[in-house]
This record gives sequence, structure tokens and C-alpha cells, in this order.
Amino acid sequence: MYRLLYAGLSRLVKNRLLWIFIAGMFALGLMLSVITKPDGNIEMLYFIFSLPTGVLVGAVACMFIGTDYSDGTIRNKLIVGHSRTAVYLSNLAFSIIGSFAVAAAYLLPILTIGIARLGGFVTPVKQVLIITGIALLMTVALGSLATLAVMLTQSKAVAVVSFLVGLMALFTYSLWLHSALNQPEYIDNVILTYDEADDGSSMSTEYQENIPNPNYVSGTKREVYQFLLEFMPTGQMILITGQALVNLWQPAVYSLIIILVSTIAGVLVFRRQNIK
Amino acid sequence: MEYVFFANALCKSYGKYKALNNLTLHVPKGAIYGLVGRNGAGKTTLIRILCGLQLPTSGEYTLYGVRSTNGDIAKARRRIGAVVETPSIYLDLSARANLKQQFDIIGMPSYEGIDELLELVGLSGCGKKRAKNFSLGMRQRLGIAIALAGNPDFLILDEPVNGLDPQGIIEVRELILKLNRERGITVLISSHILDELSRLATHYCFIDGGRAIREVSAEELEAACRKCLRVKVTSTATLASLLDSMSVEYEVVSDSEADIYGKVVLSQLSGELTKRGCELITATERDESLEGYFMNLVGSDKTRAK
Repeated sequence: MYRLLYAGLSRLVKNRLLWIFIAGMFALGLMLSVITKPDGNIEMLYFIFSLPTGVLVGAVACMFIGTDYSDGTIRNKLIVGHSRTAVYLSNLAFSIIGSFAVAAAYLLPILTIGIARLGGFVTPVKQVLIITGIALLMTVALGSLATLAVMLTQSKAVAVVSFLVGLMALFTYSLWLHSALNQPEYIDNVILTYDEADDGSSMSTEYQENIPNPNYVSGTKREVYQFLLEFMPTGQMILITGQALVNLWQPAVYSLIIILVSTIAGVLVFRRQNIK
Repeated sequence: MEYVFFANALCKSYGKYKALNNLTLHVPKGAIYGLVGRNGAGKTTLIRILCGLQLPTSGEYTLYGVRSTNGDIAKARRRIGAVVETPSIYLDLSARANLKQQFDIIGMPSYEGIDELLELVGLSGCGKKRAKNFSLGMRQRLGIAIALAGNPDFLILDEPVNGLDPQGIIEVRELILKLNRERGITVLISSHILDELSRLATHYCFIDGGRAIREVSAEELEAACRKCLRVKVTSTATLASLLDSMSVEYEVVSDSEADIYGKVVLSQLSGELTKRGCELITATERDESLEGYFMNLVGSDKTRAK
């Protein structure tokens, strides 16, 4: 498998699309580091990386791995005797490496210029590192799903479209879940009453404080929503970007489960696939 | 005889469609083995299975003595190179970069040999031109170069002259002959251009409906397709006796017919037969080409099948 990795990496470093993404993320990191007001904090800029990285990992995976199908070069690897498992895992590795490169391109200006202008992390460094690890695992989970999509569809275009559409759908749902979970338990209410007086109409207002919010999600439903939000990579994206991670180990475990299940399923199906 | 590849009752179905139907064939070591068959006969399906791109539905094959069900089949495949249907090349890379990729995939210790390969296939002057800007013929040549990258003992070429101009066809033919004669590489080649195949192959397999109808050597095929005069007489014994006295080569094919390979004057033959009490009924010239042989084979097979 190391031969496949070496060959693929030598091709990955020449991939124009990847370099465009790297340059774009670097420029984004640089711009945010420069334009953010000095009274902001570095955490605000740091954790944003999970959002674009998660999207780009799919594009990198589908386009890079998909080329093997569109150009037919996956046949070269199988004909000379590489196992299907090795081919699949090496492709997964490329999607991970590509996405990490994109994330690193963004973080480089943030961790240099950003920290110089805005100061160091307020959050304990240990926590920053843990959340970074969760974000990277989330990225790997998205990469494994993108790899699964392209290896099963055998089509670059179909994989890109299906991955991005799926991602958008999950992201929209995650936003809805996040919004629902962010509803306050109690709200202040204002009641306007209209009293007709002899000289005309008049209004009186009544303030109600701390009344239960009818939109507040509680009980089992809240637990389910929280689980879904933490399970889905798009949900984790939102929580990490918004620095709203409550549980630290659950999202990491969920990402590992997604990586394992999607990779095992992908390898099993790919091993029986008819390659044309 | 040592066989590089032996397929035993291979079957491959795509849903209800049977692409291979108990196909059995043997590719001898050192041969240029031609696969002859119509579109949809199963040639490419067989090649895909041999290359490990697809699994057979049933049956098995051996490659260099290793059975397909053996885990070591992947190691055996390292001795093969193949161009299956379309050349497998990275369109965004140059010819040299494509070969470097293949060398890396195979695990060659260095890039030594790339220049020779490019020269061998006539692509040494391409420079940094990307493969997507190549003509079809150039892509085909690059595909062959990639197949040769690992110094294979067994080269599999599926329609290698597709898209090539006459000059290109000659060059590929000469390349295949050179690889076979100088390096002893066994070649499995499928082609629709039977005339071209007849200049190359040492063995043939005629495939139709997913089955191998016949395997013949080039010598056997030449004997079968040899130009002759087929005569129908009232007594083949009398004919045989006459032809023996004339020292003319012949073959009795039935109790009333014989093929005469030597040159005879028909009127003289008829006169001599009449003197001996034998009548010459019909005389027909036969000169069977590879196409004719194949069409008769497929046609007779269909008749038999009915």
C-alpha cells in the first residue's frame, strides 16, 4: 500500500484544485487575521476552519479520487496486483491529507498574525487542542463519506453533486436542530390590551417575566436533538464554529463510528464491484 | 506445454445477461494469442476478469499456475501488463509523468527505462504536452507504454490498433512482434481487424456467445484456410490413386469429395479419371480467409446449437 500512497501523494502535490483551495484558505485566514478588530478574540477566528474544511474535503476527495475513474487509471492499480482494500484505503488517506493541508493553510496565518494582533487563546490550550482534534476527526469523517460516495458511484460528477447536496441538506437540518436547542427555557412576554375609553381608544401593556417558552425542547426530545446534532458532522461543524461544544468525547466517538462504518462498508462493496 | 493463462468453464453474468458461458481456453507461453469474436462475444469481459477488474460468476482460471481463488493471484498479476479497451492514462499529466506514476505504483526502484519506453512507442518527442492534448493514436501508444512499465511477461491488449492510422498499425504490429520474439513476452490480443491479427497471431481462439468455439494454432488455421480445388467424384479411391501417381498433394474429406492442393489441369484430370471409370462431378476453387473461416465456424456453431 505504501507504493500507492507514494504514487498518489506525488500526484496530489501537483493537483491544481488542491492548491487553489489551499491558496484560498490561506487568503481567508490572512484576511480575517488582518481585518478583525483588536478587541476580538482569537478563538472566534480559529474554530471557523472546520466549516470550509468540511466542505472542501468532499470536493478534494471526489475530484482527486474521481479522476481515477474518469481517466480509467484505477485499472492500472488493480491490474498490477494491488488489492482492492489497499486501493480504497489509500484513496481515503488522500482525502484526509488533502483536507488537513487545506485546514493547515487556513490556520497558519491565524496562529501567527492572528495571535500577534489579537493575543493568545482565552480558552485553556488543552481544551483548544481537544476541540481541534474533534474538528479534524469530523473532517476525516466527511472525507470517509466522500470517499465512499466516489468509490461506489464510479463517477466524479455524480459523487461531487451527491456529496454536496447531501452536505447541504444535513447542514440545513443541523442548523434547524441547533436553533431548536438554542431556544431559551423561559421568555419574557409582553401583552398588549386595548381598552376603549370615552375619549377614544387607549392601550395598556402588561409585562410577563419568565414564562415557559412553548418552543423550548425538553426531555427525551432534547436528548435526541442533542445526539443528532453531535452525531452529524455538519452538526459538529456548527457547534465547533460557534464554540458551543458541550460534550467533548461524544462527537469524537461518533466521528470514529462514521469513519469505521463507512470505510468498512466501502471496502466490502468495492471488493465485489465490477470495474469497467 | 506450459500455459500462462488457463480459463476453465468461466461464466460471467450481468443480471440475466450471460457475457461468458462456460468459456475454456489456454494461452501457451510465448504465444501471440489472438481472440477473435464479434462485438459482444465476451472478449473484453474475459480480459477484465483476467486483469482482476471483475470477478467471474462461476468457474476459475489460473495465471502462471496460480488459481484465481488463491490469495497469491495478486502476486501473479504483477507479471502482466494490460490495455483494456481504452488506455488508462492521466489526462492532466504528460507522457513522462504518466510513466513515472506507473513506475511508482509498481514500485520500480528508479525511473530508469522511461526514456527507452517512450522511444519504443514513439512518444519521446512529446515533452511536457499533457495527455489530454494527445491524439487517439498517441494515447493508445502511451497506454501500451504504461502496460510495459513493469517489464511484464504477459501482455494483454484489447483492440490495440483502434484509432491508429496505417503507419501506427504497422508500428504497433512490429512492436508486438519485437516484444514477443526478442523478449519472449506472451501476448493476448483481441481485435476485430482479422487481417491484422492474421499477420501476428501464433494461436487463435474464436469466441461467440461467451464461449470459446475453437482454439487453433496458426499452422492449423493455415492448413484449414489453404487454397485448394475441391472436387466431387464418383470414386475417391480412384481419384486418390491417380493423384498419388501424379505426386499431387491432396486430402480426402468425405466419401465423394477431396481437396487438391497441388496444381492440376482440370481437363487433364477429368480425362484421366474417365479413363479409369470415374466421373468428375464438380470442381470448386476454395480460398478461405480468416473472416470466412470465422463466419463458417460461427455459422456452423449456430446451426449445431439449433
